[in-house]
Amino acid sequence: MRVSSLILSTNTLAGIQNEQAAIAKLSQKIASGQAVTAPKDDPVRASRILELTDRIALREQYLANQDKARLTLSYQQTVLGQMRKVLEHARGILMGVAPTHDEALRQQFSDLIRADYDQLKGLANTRDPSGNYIFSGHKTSTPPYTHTQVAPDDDANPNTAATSGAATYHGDGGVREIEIDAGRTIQVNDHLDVVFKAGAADDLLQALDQAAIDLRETPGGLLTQADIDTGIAKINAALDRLGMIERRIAAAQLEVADTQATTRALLNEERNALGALVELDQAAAIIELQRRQVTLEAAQRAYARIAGLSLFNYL
Amino acid sequence: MASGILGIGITGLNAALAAVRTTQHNIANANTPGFHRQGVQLAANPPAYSGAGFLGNGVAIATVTRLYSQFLDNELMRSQGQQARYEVYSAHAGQLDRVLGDKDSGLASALSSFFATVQEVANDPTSMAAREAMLAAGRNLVGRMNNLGATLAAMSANINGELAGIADQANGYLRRIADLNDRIALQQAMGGNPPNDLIDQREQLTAELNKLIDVTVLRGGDGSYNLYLGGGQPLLSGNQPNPLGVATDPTDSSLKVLTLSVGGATLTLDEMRITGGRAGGLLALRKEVLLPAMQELGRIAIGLARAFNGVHSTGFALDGSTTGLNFFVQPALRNFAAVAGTASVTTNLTNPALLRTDDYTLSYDGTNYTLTRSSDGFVYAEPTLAALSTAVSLGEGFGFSVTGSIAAGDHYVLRNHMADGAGSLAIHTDVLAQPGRIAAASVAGAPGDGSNALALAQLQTQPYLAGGTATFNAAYGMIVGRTANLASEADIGRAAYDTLARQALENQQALSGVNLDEEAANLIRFQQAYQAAARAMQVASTLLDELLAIGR
Repeated sequence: MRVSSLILSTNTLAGIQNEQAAIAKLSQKIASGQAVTAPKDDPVRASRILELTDRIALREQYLANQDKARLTLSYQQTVLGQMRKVLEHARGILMGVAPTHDEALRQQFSDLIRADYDQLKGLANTRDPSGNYIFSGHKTSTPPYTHTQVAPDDDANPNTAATSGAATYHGDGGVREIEIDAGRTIQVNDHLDVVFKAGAADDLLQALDQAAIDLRETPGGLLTQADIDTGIAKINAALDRLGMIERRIAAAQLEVADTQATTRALLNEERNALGALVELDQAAAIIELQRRQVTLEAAQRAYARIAGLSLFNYL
Repeated sequence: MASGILGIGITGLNAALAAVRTTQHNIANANTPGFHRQGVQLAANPPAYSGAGFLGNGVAIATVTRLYSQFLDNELMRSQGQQARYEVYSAHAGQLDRVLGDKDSGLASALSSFFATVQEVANDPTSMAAREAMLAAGRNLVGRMNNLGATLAAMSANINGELAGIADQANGYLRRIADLNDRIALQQAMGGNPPNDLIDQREQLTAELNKLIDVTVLRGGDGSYNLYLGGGQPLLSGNQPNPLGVATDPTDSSLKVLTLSVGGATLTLDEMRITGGRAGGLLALRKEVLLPAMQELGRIAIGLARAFNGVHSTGFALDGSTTGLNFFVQPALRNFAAVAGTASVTTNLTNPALLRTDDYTLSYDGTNYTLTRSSDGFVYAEPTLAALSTAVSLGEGFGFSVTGSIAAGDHYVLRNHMADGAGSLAIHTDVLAQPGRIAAASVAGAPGDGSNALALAQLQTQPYLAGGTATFNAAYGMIVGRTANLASEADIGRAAYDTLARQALENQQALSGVNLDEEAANLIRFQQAYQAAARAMQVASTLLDELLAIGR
């Protein structure tokens, strides 16, 4: 075939340009460590990368949500555990006291019950680290419980029967939920009034206050064993109900932990898959780069040789 | 004289000189685009009769030909036209592909981060830090969306400008070709021989024109040379060019279309019939890649705003009482363009989940109002506009209202109705710079209630768009995937036509190209011919001297 001088030089040039373009692309890949520098280089892979990246971002958010749920639940668990201790302590005192004990001893017991009452009320009005009342339902800026303490009622006439008033609950029944997986939420607060029964017949704060008052009253006259027994019964009932909440929280913690284990495992799989898609096979890329460099050099040498070829050199 | 022995020598000298001159011309034009190498066609002169038979009379230059194959040149022109088409297509598609797929300019990460901050508000609705973070992520999302919308709109405006430039440049070529047509006809009439270099120039200009917009060349038997567009419209007849131009698309005022002025009338060129050259590439890119991407991106913005506001407006702000607040400014759909008619037809968004990336035509035949979907020709027909609007809103996600009256035969077109969506998404002034007004609570007076924020966060995983088949992230992923596929196809097409054009050039050059070594060899050959002819004349001269010597 006849070859024109134009083709002789441009063909080699095209080869050089192709190799240079390929080398530029390869060095970009090697420098960035990314197998796909533009989606069009591999549309299928790019779509998978995008989808996986979205999924990983979402899963990381669920992981953060699970941590938040775990923290919130364990915070509540700790507070409830403290309440249990306080109630058990109060119950122990009441069980150890009798109307026949002398006044000084009973006053000491009364003071201990009063301390328990204070601690319990404080726990019921616990705030989380962000300053939200954890037992107010959705009204997290409102302290949930108010109760006017009557004890010690050291008034002029110790023979008058003082009566503690009912506690008031200012929160609502709002349930707070955190999404721990797609479409799966977990309840992270509990309705404490199940235990405290503010305003009801077995109002816990009222019962403790009343017990502290009763222990200071005149034996034989106003303080009876029945009063003490009522106090113990109310505390026992409250402990039972507290147990229900504690069991729910334990189950919820378990669920969060289980979900988190699954999320972690899947996240790990997805990160590996993404890594395999995104990351460049450096060794293969470098070998290809070397191969292309050799081809480029050969094309350049060929061009130099061809450029020097001319019959005019011999005329 | 010609029959004389000196005369024969002179014919040889002349022929050799002409051949040397042509060789020099070839060498000089070795790098001239469109040049076809030329050759001197020699023929023996008619012989002189003598009693002993015919005696030769030397050589004559019959003509100078150019080495040309219409088939090879056509192949080259066609493949270069397609090469130009794919080159511009792949360059623009690649740009779009990078913009959409880039981690820093794309939407994917902005969407994910935004929803993550919504989750944080759901987890901790009283935290001002979480609310601030959600507003910031919202601003970032809106910024990315606006930026993408603006980039795509700028690409569309660039294409408009490029089309105008192509029309200008093509008109320049057409004028020069018309001028050459005149000169070639004149010169051919004068001598009967083809003016090779002018013909080369004309072919070259036509090839350049074909790289702008695909043309068909019709050569008449009388030497006429006419150009037509792909759709059969006459671009040039004789020395009369019909100028190309651009005009605003009557169905979408943001787009320019190519026009052709024929005898005072201006025709709009059908973009489906322009299949080659840069113009073909730009029009195809706009139709296949750019406008669908603008539509789909707009749909995400419109859908996101509607879905988010729908949940947000039912919730309560941190103050526990303010409700009915929007989070995003709802981007609107475009309105119908009146292609024939005087009424104004405005659209209203009804259900973003039903929105399609499609075009619609509204018309009236005197009995029924009809709305036709272009992609599949589906027709909604109702006797009243109100009934039609209702039917359309149930199927296509938007209704419309008409001011003025629609007459029989009118038609109104709705094209790229979601294309402005991405550019007009914004954070609503209801919540702008007021993180406390994010409606995280579902009920009044419950600051710790994050259930509405949770409902907002769950929109991330809800397949909301495209008839409830795609989440916002998935819808964006589809745009990226679609663009990447088209860009990759264009790259493959470009590589294929690069090769084809190179092969066509190789084939054409094998016949018509200049080979300098060959010309060098020719120079030597013709130099020797010249030397031989000169020597023959010298011999003739000595013969005459001999004769003269006898007489002395």
